[in-house]
Amino acid sequence: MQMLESLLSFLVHIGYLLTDPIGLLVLFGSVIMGIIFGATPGLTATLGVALLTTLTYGMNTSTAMIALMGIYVGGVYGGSYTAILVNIPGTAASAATAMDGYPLACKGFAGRALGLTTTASAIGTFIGMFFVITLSPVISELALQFTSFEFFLLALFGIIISGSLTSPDLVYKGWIAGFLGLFLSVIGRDSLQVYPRFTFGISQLDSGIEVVPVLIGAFGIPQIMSVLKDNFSVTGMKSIGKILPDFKTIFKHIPVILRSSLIGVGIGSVPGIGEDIAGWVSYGTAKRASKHPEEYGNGSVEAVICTETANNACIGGAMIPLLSLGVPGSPPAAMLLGALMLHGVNPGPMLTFENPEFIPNITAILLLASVAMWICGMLLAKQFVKVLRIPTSIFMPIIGLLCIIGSYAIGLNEFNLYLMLIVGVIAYILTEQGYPIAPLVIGVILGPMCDENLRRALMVSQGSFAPIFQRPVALILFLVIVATILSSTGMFAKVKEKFSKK
Amino acid sequence: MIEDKVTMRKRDFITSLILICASIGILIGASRMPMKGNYGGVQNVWYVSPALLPIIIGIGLLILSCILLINSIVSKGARGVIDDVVAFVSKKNSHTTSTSDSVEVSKKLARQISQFRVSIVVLVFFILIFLLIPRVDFLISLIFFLLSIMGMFYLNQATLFRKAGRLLIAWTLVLCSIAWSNLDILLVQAFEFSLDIIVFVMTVSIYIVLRKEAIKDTETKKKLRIVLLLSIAVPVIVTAVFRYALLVPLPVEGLFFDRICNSIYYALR
Repeated sequence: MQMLESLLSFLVHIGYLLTDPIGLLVLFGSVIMGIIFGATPGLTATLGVALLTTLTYGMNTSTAMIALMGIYVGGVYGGSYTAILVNIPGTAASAATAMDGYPLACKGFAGRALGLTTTASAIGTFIGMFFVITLSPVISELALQFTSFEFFLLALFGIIISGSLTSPDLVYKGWIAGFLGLFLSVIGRDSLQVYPRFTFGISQLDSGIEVVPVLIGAFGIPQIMSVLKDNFSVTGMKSIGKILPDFKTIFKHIPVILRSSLIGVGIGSVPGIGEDIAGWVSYGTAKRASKHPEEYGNGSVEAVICTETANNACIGGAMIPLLSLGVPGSPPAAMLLGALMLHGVNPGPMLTFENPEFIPNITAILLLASVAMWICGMLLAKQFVKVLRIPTSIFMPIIGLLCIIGSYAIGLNEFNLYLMLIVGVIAYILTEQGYPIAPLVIGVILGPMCDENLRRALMVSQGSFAPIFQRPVALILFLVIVATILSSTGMFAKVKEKFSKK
Repeated sequence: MIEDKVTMRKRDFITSLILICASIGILIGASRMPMKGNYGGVQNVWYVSPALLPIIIGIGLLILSCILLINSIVSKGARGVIDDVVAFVSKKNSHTTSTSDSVEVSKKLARQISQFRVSIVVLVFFILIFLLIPRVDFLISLIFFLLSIMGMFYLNQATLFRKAGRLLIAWTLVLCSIAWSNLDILLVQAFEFSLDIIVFVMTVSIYIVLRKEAIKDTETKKKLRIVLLLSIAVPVIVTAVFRYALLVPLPVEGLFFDRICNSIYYALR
């Protein structure tokens, strides 16, 4: 019954959005911006969402969401342009696409590859959207049974799993980044006793650190520095030719599309893990299941379809924990959470009660964004390629300027700029040392949830941790956290080896 | 790849030491927070204390940093750092450079160039955010920012980087001494737009350095024209959108934004 109500509300929202010309204009504009951000090496969907957040501050929540979801969907898809045409993925999400997209372009099928990725991305987003509308209300309902212990463990799980899976070097570097993010989140007066923690007498730190400037600093500044350091520019681009959707090939690969979508949604719903991992996992699975694995890496159409479906389905997956639990499923979703907070929307189990129209509205936007992305991809691909010819040394300083004015505009506070630069420089140093940034950001975002729920839970249990072992969900989360930590140690590998020998 | 791992472990050794110090700092800070007694009308017990999460963070960070330190020692990162220090000191004493490791030298040079480029970016951001935005007209500050970064990186010439870099350092010292001696307050009292004019001069000086390099060939000249156009047009458009469309008051509206842009805008309105 509730699902039917959601579906009805979803259809009403689609009708409303289709009859709103300003909304449609914002949608197409933001999707185009997203594709440009995604296609340009050095710019990411996360950075696009971060910068647009500051521009949507004055808009109403619905229009702001149209803009942010549009740039998110466009950004994840846009990465495939440079992946196919130059063998350099515009975003990490399309790194797997480059493996077969570029060989296809070398064979003279760049237009066909782009047509397939555009259609596959749209289908992936659509399937992800289906899971948002069906699963989010169910998970929210379940989450209502959660107590503070479960929320504390959920936040901790988000940080640990994101640290484990995103670390490019040693696993515990991801956890260190998560702990650093948690530390940033405790700065300011605590919510229970209003005691100033690590404020060093600076009055601007009393209310805690502003999330949006920290996120802009963490995602934007390191990107600007590393791109300008290498002075990278896009050269040797393959010609596109005619772009066709090639529905026949798409229909032939429906099982691959469905499997990749499920992988995308599943990976997206794990806190803090982004579209890049979805792309690679889907690629690996499709290769193992393929009848022609030898074609992979030499221009396999199936490979291009599976990676692009998975990374776009990941968007829907990332939205599920964000909307139902308040835990972002990917770095751009973390940025979206910051934007939602700015607009006074608090995602979590109470969202369906406080704002029952919000989830159907988001899913309607997601559907229209996938359609807008498909239209723009089919009609404007050649124009996007022209934009790629702009040297990075020209647009990166402009991005820097937007980071600055955006961070300032959030609270009209110069202190936000200091914060942005300091966090940005630290994030750059950490990136250079092999630390991932996603757990740091997840730590900053989930820190307050962790702090408040831990203390509240212990207050209720009079300082006892026993409820963790008495409540099934808490126990499962606890065991998953322990298993995640143990599986990353050498001890686990030794035990596994012993068992496999037996 | 193996070489990269070795470099990473060397860096891990240094980072782990910094992180150990930071985690001890967090634990010391947390130990000063109320753990018992009464604060803000709340009777404290350890599990309600504001120190609870910082203690967990401090301990967690300390354990992980120690693991990182041990790993770097085991994988010879610490040894590498000590060897580097010894080699640096001995080279300094003997004033000789080994010619056998020319690959290593060229790698080191490339790394130094990268570091220099990053330092320039950080320096320009520092000038803009800490020195200009709180004091100087926002529009001219942004023009300076874009002209410096875009000019240096788009023209991309080693001599230009050296000359403009030196000029930027000199201007940073001037601006820092003005800010720290509170001379800026006196200057503004004497003439409202004096700081705006100083930054305008600074921007022009950067342009002159760029121009001197650019006149050497037509391609670079064309590039400089693009840089100049974008450095002026982008800040004007962005500030106008934020100020007039999004109604965001700019940090400082001085000689350029208040007297020129505002005058034009209100005259047209």
